[in-house]
Amino acid sequence: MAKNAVDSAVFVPKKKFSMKKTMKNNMGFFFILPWLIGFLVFRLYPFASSLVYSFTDFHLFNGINETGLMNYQEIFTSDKILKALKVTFKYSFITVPLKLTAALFIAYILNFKIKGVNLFRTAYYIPSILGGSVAIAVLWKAIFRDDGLVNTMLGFFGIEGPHWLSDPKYAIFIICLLRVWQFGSAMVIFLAALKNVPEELYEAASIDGAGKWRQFFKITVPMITPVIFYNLVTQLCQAFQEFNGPYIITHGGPRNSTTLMSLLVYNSAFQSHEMGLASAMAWVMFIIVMILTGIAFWSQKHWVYYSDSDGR
Amino acid sequence: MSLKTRKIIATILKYAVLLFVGLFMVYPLLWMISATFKSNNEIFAGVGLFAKEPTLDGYKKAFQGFGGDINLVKSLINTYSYVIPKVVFTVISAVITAYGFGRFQFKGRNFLFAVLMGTLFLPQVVLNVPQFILFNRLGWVDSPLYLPIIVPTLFAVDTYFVFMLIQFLRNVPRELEEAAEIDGCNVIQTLVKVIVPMLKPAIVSCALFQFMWSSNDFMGPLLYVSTPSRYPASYFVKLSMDADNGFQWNRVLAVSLISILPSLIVFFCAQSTFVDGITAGGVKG
Repeated sequence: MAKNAVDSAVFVPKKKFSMKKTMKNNMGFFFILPWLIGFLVFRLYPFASSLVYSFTDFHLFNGINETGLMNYQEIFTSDKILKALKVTFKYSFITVPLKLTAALFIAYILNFKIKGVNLFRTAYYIPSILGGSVAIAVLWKAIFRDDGLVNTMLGFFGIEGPHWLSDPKYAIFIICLLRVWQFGSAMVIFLAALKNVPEELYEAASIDGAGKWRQFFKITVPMITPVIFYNLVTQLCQAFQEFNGPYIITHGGPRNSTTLMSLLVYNSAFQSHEMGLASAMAWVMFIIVMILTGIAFWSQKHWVYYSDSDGR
Repeated sequence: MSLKTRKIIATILKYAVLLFVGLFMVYPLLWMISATFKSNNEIFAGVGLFAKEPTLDGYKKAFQGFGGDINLVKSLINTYSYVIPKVVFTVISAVITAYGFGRFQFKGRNFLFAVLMGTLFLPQVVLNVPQFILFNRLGWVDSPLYLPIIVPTLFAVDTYFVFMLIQFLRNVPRELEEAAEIDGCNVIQTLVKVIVPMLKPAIVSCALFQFMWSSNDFMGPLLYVSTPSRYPASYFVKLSMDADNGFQWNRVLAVSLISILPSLIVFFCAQSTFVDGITAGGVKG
């Protein structure tokens, strides 16, 4: 009996302690509760309801009168929507590779012991921080007007510049260029990754007689593939949702050559109030982005190198 | 060619590339600043950065209204009347959420953390339409308090910031918290007195990024603000461009420049924080 009493006397505080610990751990739940509520109300519910809306003819003022697959049928038969899909792919597949190449190339040069590296980094980074603003879109319009900065410059060399923004051949590239110009944030991420590539690898390679270009492709690029992968996925997600540039600079024109899917989603939801159709288009976009992200994740094992020490 | 000359040529080439690309990055912005001081006849007549006859005409007109119930100053006040609450609420809610995920092993933590990570990849384009419908039902669209823009930030919906703070919290040693606990601090006191001061650098960069992104945001106001007197600067810039027939570019560019001036000032005051922040979490943008 006495022994038991001692046992329990020892045991009880221990139990109390672990209970206290569990209780303390469960308090964590209260800290994340606001986020959980926000997630359910402002993320999950809209996300799920838009899938439901996509199977209806939900009109903001007339409500729902019909349900079915008609929105999806329309998406895959309407020339306008199919063209917007094509333009969105074109836009993304031009912008993302150019942006990443520029970012990596400049980061690579900056990574040599360059004097004034901070100054250059700042200069390259400013467009990224301001680029999303309407002000910069307005500036872009001023630069690429028929008599804008670029054509005035070309004029000095006796070249008559094209109608950048009103010629369907060029307008999309001007919209792409606005985003490529903002390669600074990707560059800063690359630069941080490059600093982590061990110096010994380069030394060993140059003893073996590998030139700078060989070193770049055989050492630098493989060592930072995780970061290339990260930048690729985030930039792709972003490119597919591009809205401000084409909306402000070209209004989707000329002849719908810069009408990206996000513009069509906006137009059908907030101009013609066809919420059902807009939801369906958004879901098609979402699925495309998911598939591309999935491909990127799946392809990782073929080209992304994860070192053991740096498990990113 | 000796090794030395080759090295010199390589160095020159590097600087040449950096300068050339740098020019391409910065020239448009410098040209924009100079254009605001030029007369409208001069803006597109040359490519130089110095106005032959500098004029403040653009700025004078920028501050004049062009009909309607809105002007530049008012639109800037409107912008910061939702940007500042957004920044404050985001920081508070993100710190609380990050603390919960980073320091407690509650039931279902791992599952909820996976959900949080999942929302990082949720494209806004799918959410715009249903969110609008939701806010419309709540009667929040065109609210004078900018409810649809501000309220979600109370609930840490920008999980990107939560993620960034959790990453940072991982590298903060727990010893101080344990010491605080022994000294009799409860979890909330620990959060306020120990965690927040330690997280300060990460908190500052969260606040700065949210400040930039919210000031630049165009989609939010486009969807949720429809009364002209409540238009923010981003929308006002677009209006002033559309209202112009293409003759008053010095005014349009002056309006644009003034609208990004606060962001520019903040950027130059906190440059290194931006670069640190971007590399710590890996930032979209």
